[in-house]
Amino acid sequence: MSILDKPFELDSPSVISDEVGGETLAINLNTGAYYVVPPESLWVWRAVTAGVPGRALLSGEDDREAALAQYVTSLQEAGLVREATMAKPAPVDAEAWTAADLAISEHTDMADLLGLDPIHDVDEAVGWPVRPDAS
Amino acid sequence: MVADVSTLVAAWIDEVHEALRPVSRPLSGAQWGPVTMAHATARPEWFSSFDRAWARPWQGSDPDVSLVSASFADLPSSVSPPPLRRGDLGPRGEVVGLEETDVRLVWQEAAGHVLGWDPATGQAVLLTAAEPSGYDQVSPLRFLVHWTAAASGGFLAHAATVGRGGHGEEPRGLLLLGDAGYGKSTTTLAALNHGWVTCGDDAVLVRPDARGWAAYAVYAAVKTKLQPGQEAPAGPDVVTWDIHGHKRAHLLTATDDRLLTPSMRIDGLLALDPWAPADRPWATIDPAAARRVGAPNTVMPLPFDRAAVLSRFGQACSELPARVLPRRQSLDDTLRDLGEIVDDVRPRVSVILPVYNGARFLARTIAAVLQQTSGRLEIVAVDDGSTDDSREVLHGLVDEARKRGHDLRIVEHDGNRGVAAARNSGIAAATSEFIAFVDQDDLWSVDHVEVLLAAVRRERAAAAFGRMEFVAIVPESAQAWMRREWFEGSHPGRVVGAGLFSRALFTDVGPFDEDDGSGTDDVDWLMRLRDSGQPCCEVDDVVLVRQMHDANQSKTSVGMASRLLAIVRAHHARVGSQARPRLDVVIPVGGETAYLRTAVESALAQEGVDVQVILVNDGLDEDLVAHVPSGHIDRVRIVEHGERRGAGAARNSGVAVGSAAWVAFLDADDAWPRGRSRALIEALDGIERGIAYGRQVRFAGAEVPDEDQPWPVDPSPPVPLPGALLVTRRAFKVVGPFEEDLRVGEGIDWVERARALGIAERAVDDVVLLRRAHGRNMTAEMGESRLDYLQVVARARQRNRSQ
Repeated sequence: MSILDKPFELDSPSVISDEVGGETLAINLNTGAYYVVPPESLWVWRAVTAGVPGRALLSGEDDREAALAQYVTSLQEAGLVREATMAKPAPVDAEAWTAADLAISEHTDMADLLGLDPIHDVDEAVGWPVRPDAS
Repeated sequence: MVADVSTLVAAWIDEVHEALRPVSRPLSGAQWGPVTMAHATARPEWFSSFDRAWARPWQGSDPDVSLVSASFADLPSSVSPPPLRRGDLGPRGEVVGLEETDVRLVWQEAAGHVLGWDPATGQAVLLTAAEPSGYDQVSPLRFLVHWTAAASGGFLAHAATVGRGGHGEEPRGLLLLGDAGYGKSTTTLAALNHGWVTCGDDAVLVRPDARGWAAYAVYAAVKTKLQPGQEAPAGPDVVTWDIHGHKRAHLLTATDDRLLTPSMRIDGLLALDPWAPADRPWATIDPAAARRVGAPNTVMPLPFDRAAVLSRFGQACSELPARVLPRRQSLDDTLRDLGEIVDDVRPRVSVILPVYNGARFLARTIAAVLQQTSGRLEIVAVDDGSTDDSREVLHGLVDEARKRGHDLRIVEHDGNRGVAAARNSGIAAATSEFIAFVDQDDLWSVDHVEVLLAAVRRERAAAAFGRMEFVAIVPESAQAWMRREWFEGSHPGRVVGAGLFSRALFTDVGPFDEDDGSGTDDVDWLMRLRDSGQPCCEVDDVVLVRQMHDANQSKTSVGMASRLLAIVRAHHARVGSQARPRLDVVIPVGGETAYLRTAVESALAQEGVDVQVILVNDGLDEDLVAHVPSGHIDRVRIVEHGERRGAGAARNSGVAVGSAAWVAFLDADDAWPRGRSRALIEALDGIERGIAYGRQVRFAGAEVPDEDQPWPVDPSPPVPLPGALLVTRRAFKVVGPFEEDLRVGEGIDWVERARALGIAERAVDDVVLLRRAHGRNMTAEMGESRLDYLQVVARARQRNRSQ
């Protein structure tokens, strides 16, 4: 079975991802590496991490197939996604993308701060609370 | 050829050692610092007097140094003299050509002895023509101690030590500097008579380590003039005898740790000044002054290793606080001042302790802080609206802190404002030069402050971090989210509780983000610290134990994720804008402002760097804003002096308000080519403490007719004038400020000092300074102030003499 036929999902909770300040970021808290998803590949990123098999993003004899397989493999190797049990259909609002768009840049300059997970003092009974107004 | 000399000398030492050892019998060995020495002699009747001279007699196997002593007459006829000619010896009898090698040999014909050491084999030999006498009885083998001290990373200092502690507790105190006759021994004896301890007078081994600086006892002697009232305390450990009818030596033994201790942590330097008025208060002196006072007489005039010793002494001066003490009318006054100074040089650290419902942890956490081996601590506990009895627990610990020589202050928040607000309140209330943090459930190692402070001083860093360990204080069943690897070994301490920070950092980096209610405010602050480019360093010691309990939370928890992503995003944005190095350009403005705008423009136009211009108005009655090009006021900072204090003082003020890693100076009537800063920064690539400079070209303003231009129009060779310089901020910190009493030549003086300290220096071929010649800056107009050049030369000569 090709990697393009498998559904994937974000490997949460050790991976967190969201759009922040107009940029989509993901952090692998196991390694402390963070990733910047470029806008050109954002649609593909969203689809793949939402459980859409890669094949569903291609159309027939598609010369983007190898690049997409490489992309999904790199997400898996970076520990950002894991195999999902249920495949989802491709979103209807398809956006155009090219093989050259498929990239994700890895940054490890915060790894030592983000990688070692525990933080302190968060419980009402014995330490700092998460403030009610903080989300 | 160098190798040939050292090979010959090493072979000779080996030959003599082999020949004498079978006919020698063991004497007492000795230890100084990390060095151990075994001693055997072919002449017990000559050399057994050495036994009682050592502060730390040593017996053991596998010594670092195996010394054999003998008379020349004891050598078998098969052994030749050292393979040297008279021309091979320097003024102190040292063999020329060995300086660059490890082997050491001195042949002092007048004194009638040869001393050699080969560190590769550990063999040392001492041959004398006659029985050692007089002073030789208390200071034998100084050269050997000096060489081995240097090889161990330290130096043998002509200095005394006084401190408090002993009796099982590691003493801490001062290194006393001063020429013979300045009162080192008198002061030491007076202190000993009042319950203080020493780890040596006259000669001590001084050495840096991970915790800062330490002194180690070498000899058992304290020497004084023959005067009443200058006696050692009586006791079984003290032997007193007179030397040549004018000095008295007291031998103290180290064995009971009562008077003479094996080692002492050095918290500061104290220069004794017998020439100052007796009623002048003791005072702080800067590293350069300490070095000037101490170098000529503290660094013993011993053969070999001079450069290493001077460099280490300079390092000690720059890392340790220094004070000067005039000679007092009475020893009581001296002792009172000593007490004040010992207290004053203890580093002050404010420890910020945010508290929220932490009553069950506080006693243990604060106890670990109060057990610190070093520092005078001000714990600022900020109670953030606890609903348990945290405040009562804190108030109950105030006396305990005071008893241990520290302070515990309590700041109380009306309600619960979050850990970031608590930390910020603590910093605002803190009064110390250094800031540390402890969370209510964290435990510090006993040397937390000492090792981090030593690192900050050694590395001239703005912050230092140690390592941390985790322990779980809940049953395994409650540890579902904890990872096994947290509890295996230690980890880099990437939390504020594992760091020590200079107070100024909180101005540069800003406060903790109080909008962050998720507990990740320290991640954000540490990332901003890193992005600021402020120098930070790390140590391998574990300084923090984090107790993992059921109330800790993982970063993966709800509420934390979006905050972490925002922190990463902010960091990513900062990094994007920070590919360019930051440069502070200091322009002293004390007279001519006709060309100031051109100077400012040329600084702002520097390519490839983020420039902040700092204009220092040195007493002009003029608003310098008028000289700032429109649209650039946010890149220009103006410092007002109020009255004229000179170019040196103005440059110092400018450097003090900046924070960029790079600093350059421009005069108000000169200008820079656009690429000069980038070229100089690139020349210093990878160098933390360095200066770079290039060529200057003179040019004339329109008001100077061509025929009145006597200066060459070609670029000069690279010249380290202030306007042609670029320095790293760390280099400036090491060298210290410009001398403010010089009207001219302060730049030359500064560069000379940098050279004396071994600061890295790079010259580039580029033109880096356009020096304006105009009717008012001709040398002839300088008049009397030209005489200050003589001062510059005299000071440089004084420094050089001391080397």
